[in-house]
Amino acid sequence: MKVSSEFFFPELCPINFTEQPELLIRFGNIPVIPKELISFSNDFYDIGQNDFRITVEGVATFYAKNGNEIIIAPEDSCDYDDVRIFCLSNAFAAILQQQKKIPLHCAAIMKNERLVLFFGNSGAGKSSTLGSLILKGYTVFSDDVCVPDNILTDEMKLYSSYPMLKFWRNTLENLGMEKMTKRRIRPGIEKFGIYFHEKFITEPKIPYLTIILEESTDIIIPDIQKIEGILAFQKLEEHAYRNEYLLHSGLSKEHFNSITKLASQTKLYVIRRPKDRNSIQEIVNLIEKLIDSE
Amino acid sequence: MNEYFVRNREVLASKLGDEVVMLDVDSGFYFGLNEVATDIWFFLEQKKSFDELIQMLIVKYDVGRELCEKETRELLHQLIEKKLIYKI
Repeated sequence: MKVSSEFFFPELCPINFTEQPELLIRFGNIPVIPKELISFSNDFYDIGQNDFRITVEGVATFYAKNGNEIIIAPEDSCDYDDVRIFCLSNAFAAILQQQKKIPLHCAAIMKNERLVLFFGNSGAGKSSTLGSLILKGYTVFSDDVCVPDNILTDEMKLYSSYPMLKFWRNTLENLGMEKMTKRRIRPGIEKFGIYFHEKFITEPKIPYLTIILEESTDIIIPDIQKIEGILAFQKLEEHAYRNEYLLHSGLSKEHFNSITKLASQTKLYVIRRPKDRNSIQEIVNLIEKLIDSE
Repeated sequence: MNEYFVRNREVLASKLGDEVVMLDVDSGFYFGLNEVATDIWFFLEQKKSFDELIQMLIVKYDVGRELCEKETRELLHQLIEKKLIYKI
């Protein structure tokens, strides 16, 4: 997406372009959304078909409109790192949704021009897995969001979101990456961003393998299982999306089509890891064997 | 018997291997169908009578008529309840 912004985002990739931007980000007053356009509302956000407002206390209010504009009203003495991170995770998600593109909550690496996707809850090991694979030389594609190309072709293609990996401090230490150039994402939180602008892939790619990472108390060593059919659909449905407010804007049909496309286009595997034990090397070995055999 | 059945066109369905998963757009609920229900679903793309349905199933599954009719009735009942098919 070509973005024009009044506000510098080091997380995004700078490019020169002369056509109209697809998205404009500016500071300004937040318009009031007419009641009849709002389909869901609570203390934090209002959502309509083409309008979305979210207020993050102590940071800013964000307004996303028509899939092409974000207006930000920062609060006095807010931290701009906070403003950016909330903008990227909330306002951008709303923009994509207004463009009828539904972001998938998965990390991805690229092998032979095609994608291996990783889904999993927080704590399931996505970051550690991604970090390990990158250290072993695999090509990074995305940290935690991939966006489907909404052109109705036979094979679904995915775009990456932006060139920044996000890690908790412990993960960085476990991977031996703590000395790499990094930037604290938000003040007061031990989470860091590592940029990969020079490796950022801007063209959409075709996924062929999907791995769902889960934690389990029933096992002592990691295991892997192929899944198909309805079970594959169910597992994907559990993990594919993050922002619960997506459910309030009537996009069920698009979610459904996206998940079924992924379930029929890619081979799906669930890798379970034992809770409370670091088994990242074993998991990475399972994944490498899988990638080599598929 | 002169009952006819047809599937609900508002349901979005996708075949995944031998199984079918479907979305009722209005309620937002997802359903999965097993092999027999999947066969019935595809067969009912056009309206079909109960007898035509039984005939198709007997041939495909090599099962006795009485058992087939009994089990098919139950299945049809469930599908109607979930508004996946209609009796007309």
